[in-house]
Amino acid sequence: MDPFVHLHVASGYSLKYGASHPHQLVERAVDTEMDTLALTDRDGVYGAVRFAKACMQANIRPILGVDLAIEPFGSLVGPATRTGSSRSPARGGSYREPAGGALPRVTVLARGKAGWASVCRLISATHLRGERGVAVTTFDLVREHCAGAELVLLLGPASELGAAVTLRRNDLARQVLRRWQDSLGSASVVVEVVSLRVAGHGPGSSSHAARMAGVAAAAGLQVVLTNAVRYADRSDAPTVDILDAVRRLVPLDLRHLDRVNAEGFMKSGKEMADIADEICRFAGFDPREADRMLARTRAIADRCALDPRADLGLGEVHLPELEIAGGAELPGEVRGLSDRGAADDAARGNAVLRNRCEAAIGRRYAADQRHVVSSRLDDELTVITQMGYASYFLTVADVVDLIRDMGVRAAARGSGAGSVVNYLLGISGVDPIRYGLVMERFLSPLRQALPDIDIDVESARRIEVYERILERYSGSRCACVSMMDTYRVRHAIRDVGAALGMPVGEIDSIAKAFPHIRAKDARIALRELPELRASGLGEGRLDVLFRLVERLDGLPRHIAVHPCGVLLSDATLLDRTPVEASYLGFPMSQFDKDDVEDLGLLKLDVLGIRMQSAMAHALDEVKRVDGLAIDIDDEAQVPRDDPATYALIQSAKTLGCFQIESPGQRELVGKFAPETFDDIIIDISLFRPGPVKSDMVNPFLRARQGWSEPEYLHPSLVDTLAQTCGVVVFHEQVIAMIATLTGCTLAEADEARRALGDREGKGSIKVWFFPRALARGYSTDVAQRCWEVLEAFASFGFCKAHAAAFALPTFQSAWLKAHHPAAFLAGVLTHDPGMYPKRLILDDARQFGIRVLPLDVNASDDIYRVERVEAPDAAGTYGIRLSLTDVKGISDAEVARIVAARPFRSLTDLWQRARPSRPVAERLVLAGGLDSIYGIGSPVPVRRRGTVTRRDLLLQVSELDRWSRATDRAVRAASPRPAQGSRKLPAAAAAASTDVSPYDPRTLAASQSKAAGPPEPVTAVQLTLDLDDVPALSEASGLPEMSGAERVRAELEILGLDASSHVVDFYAPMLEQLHTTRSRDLLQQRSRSQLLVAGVKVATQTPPIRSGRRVIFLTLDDGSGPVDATFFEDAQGPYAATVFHSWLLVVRGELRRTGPRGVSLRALGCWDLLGLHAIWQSDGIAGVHDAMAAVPPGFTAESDDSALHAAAESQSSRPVMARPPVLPSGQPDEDDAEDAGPTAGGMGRRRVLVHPSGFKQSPYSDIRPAGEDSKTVPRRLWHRSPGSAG
Amino acid sequence: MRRYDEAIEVRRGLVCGQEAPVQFLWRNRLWVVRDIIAHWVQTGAWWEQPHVSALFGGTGPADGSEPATAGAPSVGTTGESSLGGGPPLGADLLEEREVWRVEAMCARTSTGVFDVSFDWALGQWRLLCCVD
Repeated sequence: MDPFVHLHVASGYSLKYGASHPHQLVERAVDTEMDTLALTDRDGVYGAVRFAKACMQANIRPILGVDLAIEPFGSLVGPATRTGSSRSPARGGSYREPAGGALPRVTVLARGKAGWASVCRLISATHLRGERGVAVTTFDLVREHCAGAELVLLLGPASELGAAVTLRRNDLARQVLRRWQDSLGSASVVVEVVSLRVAGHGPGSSSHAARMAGVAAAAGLQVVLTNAVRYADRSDAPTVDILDAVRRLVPLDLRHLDRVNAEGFMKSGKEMADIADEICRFAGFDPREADRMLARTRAIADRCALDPRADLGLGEVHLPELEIAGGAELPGEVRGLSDRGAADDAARGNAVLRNRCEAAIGRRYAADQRHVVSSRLDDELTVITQMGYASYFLTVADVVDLIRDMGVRAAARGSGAGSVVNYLLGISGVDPIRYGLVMERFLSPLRQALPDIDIDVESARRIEVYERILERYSGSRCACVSMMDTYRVRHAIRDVGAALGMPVGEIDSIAKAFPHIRAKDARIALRELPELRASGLGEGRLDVLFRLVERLDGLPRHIAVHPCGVLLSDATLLDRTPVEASYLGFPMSQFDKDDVEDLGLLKLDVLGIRMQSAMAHALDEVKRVDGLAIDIDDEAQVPRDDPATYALIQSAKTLGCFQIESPGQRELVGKFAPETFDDIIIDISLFRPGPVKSDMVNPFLRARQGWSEPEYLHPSLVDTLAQTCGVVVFHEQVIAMIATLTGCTLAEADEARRALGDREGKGSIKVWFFPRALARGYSTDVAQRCWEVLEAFASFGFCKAHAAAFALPTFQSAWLKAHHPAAFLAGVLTHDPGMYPKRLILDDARQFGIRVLPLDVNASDDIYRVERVEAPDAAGTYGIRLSLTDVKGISDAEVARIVAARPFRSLTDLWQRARPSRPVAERLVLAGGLDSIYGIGSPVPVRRRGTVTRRDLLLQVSELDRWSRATDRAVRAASPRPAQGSRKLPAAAAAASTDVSPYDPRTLAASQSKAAGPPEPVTAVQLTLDLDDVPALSEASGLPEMSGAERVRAELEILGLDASSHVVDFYAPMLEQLHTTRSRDLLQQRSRSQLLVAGVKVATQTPPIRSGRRVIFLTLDDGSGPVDATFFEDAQGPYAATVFHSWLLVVRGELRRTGPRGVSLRALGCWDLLGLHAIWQSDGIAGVHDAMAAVPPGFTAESDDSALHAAAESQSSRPVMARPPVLPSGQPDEDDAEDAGPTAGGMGRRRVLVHPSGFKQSPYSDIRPAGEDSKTVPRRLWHRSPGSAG
Repeated sequence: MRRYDEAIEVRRGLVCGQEAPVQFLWRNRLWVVRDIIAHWVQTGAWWEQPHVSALFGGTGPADGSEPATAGAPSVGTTGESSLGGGPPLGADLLEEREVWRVEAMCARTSTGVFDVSFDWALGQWRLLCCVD
């Protein structure tokens, strides 16, 4: 064993500073036979939990601490330490050390549980003072948290002490030391010497270390030796250079880097002993002093070593106090219980929970069901009591009540819907007894993990909800969960490229060529993806770039708030997690969702769901326009067996509906034809990788349509499987099957189901399963067949409770679309919940007979409004008015001013009272926002002389702009300029200066918010005097009106919508000559015929599919409906780039029939419509044919299954990458030993992820969980999935 | 201070209890090391190596015989470190060299202070400069 301990180690969680993951550091410690290791990241303990877990596994004692920048107190030295500059550093701007970078730093190590709590609180206090993102502590803060606490302070070369020693000012050094000694005591202050064998006499050199040791000896302080580790291995040094350059936003240059050699890695004890010798020799000490220095380092390490369980609290559970969660309504007889001791507390919690549940039975259930419900409730409460989770349920119920009281729609999702307690408490809206859901899937006495309840709220009011929860639970019990943003390929390319000084344009195009994959896979993707191979990125000169890019893989680069996680705990929360302010000024834990779970903190996922907002908007519109107040959660008003709703679903016109709007789902609902709520649950569960993979969909559909008899594995399973015609769809069915076949309890069966997910577990379950099944009288044959089904089901399949929770908003949205389509689609357009671009939704609205009303400054709002239209032709009496917010570049303040100041009588009126910026005013004109004021109607070729056109208005905008500038100049010259500096005094300063509350993370974090404040209240809506000098629209210029094509183009550019007509219409002449087929005519075409289609790209998807190949699904819209085309690997080579990067496309394909009403194209080629149109205009149709005939060399597909088998056979529980056999050619590569194998049909070697269940999956497919829409990418005109480039 | 950057032959041994060059042969004269004044490790500006600067249009690795780093005295002439092979990244980028500043004596008459360096990647000793 190596007794040396590294006490000062930065991992990658020191953002853009450390180059190694905590587990790599731990591995290195194991390799060098160390038994203890510290992690002292900069500015926080982001990696602490991961590190502690890695240490536990490797049997290494962890030490935790933090490395903080500190405001210098002496009159001392050092570079400029001004941090007050308001300018943020910019690439290419003047050289600036990032905030706090040039300040002295100290390291604080925790001792025991109390020490860890002090470290956490010190970090929180440091982050919550001053500006957000600038963690600079002060002497007073450190003293306050360290005095009397179990902390060790390390003063190293980067500290003020080090700076004094660099200047050879021993007097100052003594002054610094005395100050620390006096406040913390000599025992807690330790001098840290570091020699990185740097040349000269500055920090990092042996001579500097020697002088540090000398000063410490003179002051009677202990000296320890560290290596200020930044990377695990010597060869990681270039990565650190990149990080230094990235942090400072400069290109690589010797003067910008912290390191001059590669010595700052985790050296072995032997190497460290050499350094100790060298330092002591330079210091002129007795040679034995080196041994003493190492011994003291060891002694400090022994003092600071933490126990992950006892000290950090890994594996404990900390729920909010009962008084906070449910105490407000403690019933009298319960309050009578004495409130002493934890046992009483638990008993009270259980009593409160039981009371609340029983009180709700009468409301939720009819009298004849009460008996069933009570016994089920008793069972669940027994488990909850046994686990001690009563407080958990009360807290979640309290949060849901809070949300409902705000008038915000809320729905629980996930397995929680299986619990009758959740139903009775109002957490979930799905009756578990009616839909046959079991509780064991959600909460099992055999699993010591906190159950997981997710709550969906309206996305538009999510922030409000957070604020309310935080207000209720206060900043000392509640925080947001953070999320580490790590390097992926595109960011890594951008940062490495910039550090190396590559041209910006080149970096940009390289980065954009990649799909969103891991940085580690950069070179593999280059070899595998045909569109990348064709790009020339694989050439040798870029090799260094990609090798560096791969080095950055997975390193944290940025901390952000998790989109939905809220942490609730008792008043000791801040002892266990440090908090900092999020961008919006919420207190945010430094730990991410996995860490938080390990720490046993209650994490509630409050997800903002756009669909909930859309439905809320629809209900508001119905109430406003029709005066109809609907409670959509009330089954009396919205019966779950409403025939109109199911008719809509069966018609597959479900665009915009929750969960059932994707092309695949529309195909499925068309075939399946759901008739009941249960059917919706099944439908949602079927459309998953699991069922698709084990080919359950077709047998189910056949049985369901009565084309074949349902097949049951055994009569005893009929009860379980009858609901899905003998096909296993739900987790709940697996649980019930296992329970039936083996006779175990449901809880045990759920454990068995979980174990089936990995290969080892599967083996042990098999051994357990067969004897029990045979003992219960099942034949070997039946047991074998059942086992095969269970095994295939493996980790896939779907939790029925989750599906039921999803089915509710699905049904509700379909109900709204069936009964109030205008209001519903207005909601969908406003909140944009689904995958489709708004222009497709508008098209859908037209097909439902709803008029699309153009933009109008006097009518459009900041949301999409429903208007009653006096229809002369009875073509619907509702219209949807486009919203102002879709105008490109318009700000919230401008929208608010326009809405407040209308009606407008003229453009001048708008310009003066709403004060839009010039580009916005121009766009409003171009998009027709002022047409109604000037009576500009539909475009006609010849107009009466003297009528005003949009072009005239544009001219006037520029005149108005000139006039405003002139008058502004005059006004400014007349009045003195207002003081500039005084502007910046927002709530921040106010909150910081008022010392009313001593220390509340909530207010402190709020004061650090970086979000833009609310737009200033609109006051200037009074009519302005029409003075003569304002340029008025005197006469029409005679310019022609914009043509229809120009209008649509302007609309697309400005609104992202084609409101007046369809885009593809303008290419109709060319398309006619090309003989393309329209979507509505596809059904009449013969199967397997080759044809051409054209349209706007609506969506590209690369979903996981059975064969494990990458398949691109493309949906086009040609004005008559959607066209689906599928690109298999053979067609991807020459065309993938076009599919991902073009917007208007012409596709050649072979027609396939997928069902009675379904057709799809197997794509053979694809071209950019705009390019072809340009050719058509110059060369005519012959040129177009030539261009399309010039296809790159043909590609043939070929598969290589042996590697797949090998991977499937492997014993790993995680997906295994199957590689084709390696040919003995090419260069051996250090990371993956991959070579240019057989090129299968131009796809190169294809890797496939093989799951333990045998499911194969392309590494480039999307595996997003269903419905998690809260963090969607900024949407543009089409939907694209993360696996697609572009 | 005069700069040289010339190859020398070195015999290693212990000087003052530390492993270091004991003697070196430079321009046909044998210098004996008397004392070690300083000892450090340094790496070069790896991003100026030819195959890295080729990234942004510099000379490619094909004509990388001329070191792109001639201006920086601290950087060696390891331009020939090949790209085709597969040494782990870092090893070929680092160009670590260990430098001893030694006081040496020649023929008991002349003394001088020299920077003597050892290139770990190439296993080559060089005399960098004469300080005094």
